[in-house]
Amino acid sequence: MHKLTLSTIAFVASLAAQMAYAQNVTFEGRIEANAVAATHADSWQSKGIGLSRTEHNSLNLQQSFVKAKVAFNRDWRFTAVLNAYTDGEKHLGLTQAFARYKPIVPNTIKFSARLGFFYPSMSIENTANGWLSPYSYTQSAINSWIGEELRVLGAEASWSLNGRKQRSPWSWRVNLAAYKGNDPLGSLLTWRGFAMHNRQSLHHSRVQFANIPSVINSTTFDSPTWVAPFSEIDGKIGVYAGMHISYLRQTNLRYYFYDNRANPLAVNKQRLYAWRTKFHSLALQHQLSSAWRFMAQYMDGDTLMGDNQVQADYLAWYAAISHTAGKHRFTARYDNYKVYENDSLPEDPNNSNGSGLTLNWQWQFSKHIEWGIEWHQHKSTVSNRALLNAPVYLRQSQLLFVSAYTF
Amino acid sequence: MQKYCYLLLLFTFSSISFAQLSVQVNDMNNNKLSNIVVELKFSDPNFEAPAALRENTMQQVDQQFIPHILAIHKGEVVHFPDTDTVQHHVYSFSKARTFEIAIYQKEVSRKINFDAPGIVELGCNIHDWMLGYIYVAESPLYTKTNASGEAIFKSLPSGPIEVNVWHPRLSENDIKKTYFIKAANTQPTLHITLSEPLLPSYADFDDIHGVGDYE
Repeated sequence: MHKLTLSTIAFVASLAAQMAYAQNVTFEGRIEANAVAATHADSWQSKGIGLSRTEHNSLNLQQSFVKAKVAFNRDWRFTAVLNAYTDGEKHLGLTQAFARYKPIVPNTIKFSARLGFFYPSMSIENTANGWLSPYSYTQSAINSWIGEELRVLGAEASWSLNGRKQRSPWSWRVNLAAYKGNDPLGSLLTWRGFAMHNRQSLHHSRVQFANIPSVINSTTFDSPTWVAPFSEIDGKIGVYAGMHISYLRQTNLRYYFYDNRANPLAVNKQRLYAWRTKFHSLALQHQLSSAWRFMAQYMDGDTLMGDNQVQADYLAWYAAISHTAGKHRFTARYDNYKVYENDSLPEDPNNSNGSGLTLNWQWQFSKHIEWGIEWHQHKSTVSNRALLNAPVYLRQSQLLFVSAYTF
Repeated sequence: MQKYCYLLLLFTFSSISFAQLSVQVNDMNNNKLSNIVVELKFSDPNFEAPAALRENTMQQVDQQFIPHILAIHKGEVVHFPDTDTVQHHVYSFSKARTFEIAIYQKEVSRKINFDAPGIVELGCNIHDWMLGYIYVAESPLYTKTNASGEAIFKSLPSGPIEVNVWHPRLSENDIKKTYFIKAANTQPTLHITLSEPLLPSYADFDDIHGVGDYE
């Protein structure tokens, strides 16, 4: 799968590069740097138990990406997002690369499609360029997880009706997709738990987590304590279906059902398992007034690996409120999540729960420059920390000072 | 006698070239309606109104067409400058003018000619909710009503006038109606009251930013 992903993306990228030579190509991007005062705790990337990307008081490159868009012809456009990080195993790679087919037609119900490596459009939080959140630097537990473990290599077909053209306040869209890859989805939820951060996994990258003895132990899983989230392990095709309904542009509701249809008994040479992971996601955005916006997302799902060796249900939600005043935006978000196991292997505990509070103030100083301050606190209880002789409960907080440059 | 001569002269003078017509458009509840396109046509075949062709601009700002309704005379040109923070793929399927402003070519003309009269509905293939209109008038005598619901035409010659109104929120019946005036110098004001309620306004589609589908 790794080779398949790489070769597909390389092929599409080279095609895009050739087309870009002759056609109209645009580049956009963003760089974010932060100064942070944070609770000292090694993160999963450093094999620690911390659930924040920041590990101590420090200066960091928070985000940097370039998004290239090429319009091939009147119906086809290609988008690729290249991210660079200073943390993690790989420092440069693609987070998205896909072609969009959207013919100009006078039809009432319009068809469009995406092909490539992309996110399902289930988040109402990650609507800024590069799948960032325009509301906060530390993303919700749900979307932090999606950003690090969920991406599809496949095809999405969409049918949509734009209400305004039909003189109706109601608009809708249906998305159906089939894809490969994404078989290890669920590993991080059960072996690390939900985290809250802003690092999206690169397409070929590994995500490390703590050396949990039950994961490594040859009598249990004999598995690595990292995951390559976009691996294809069992050859099966996954699916998702989504429905968006909007009232004017005031209220937007998005429902998705995601099922990677993985064979939980499949394991590859690296001893990465396929996890059968499925969930429902419901996201709501509602404009309370021109200045106040309410947002919420709810996710309910389960994951299964092996012969009931890991089985866990998970439930996560957040609610956020955002206020815009001129060039300033204030956002407050509360997160809550729970992972609870029901499997036949008590020596591999998978339970976790936690909550988070995030308060953000962003000032769009000029067209290109943004300043921001964010305070974030995350309280978590993860049962397998006991295997590492660490307290199961951890409270982390961080204060971020961010400057961002957008081009 | 001299006084009468002056009066006669004044009357003749005004009847030839200085007649003014004010068209007032109200809804069924007598609210004054602004931004309604009003077009005048003279049935006198010998009348030729001055037709200096202008260049017009339809901007795309914050993912909206500005103005929402642009009224132009047939034969005029409209510029669609690419000044928004995001790219737009502007198109029209309207009978009066079908076109697209391609984003897939490096150098593309952003000027469109509108030679046929009619209504041109504008859309964007990237931002589906964007909607704008170009009213291409057959006659050079057209304007939009001001905040008081009034369209004022100056320097009209004498002679019978046909008046038509248009706005996307007007019902078919109100759009199809033609109002007649014998001459502007004898009837300087025309009151038009709509016979049907306005269609719903979906300008709210434009009010909210940041609700985007993934690109």
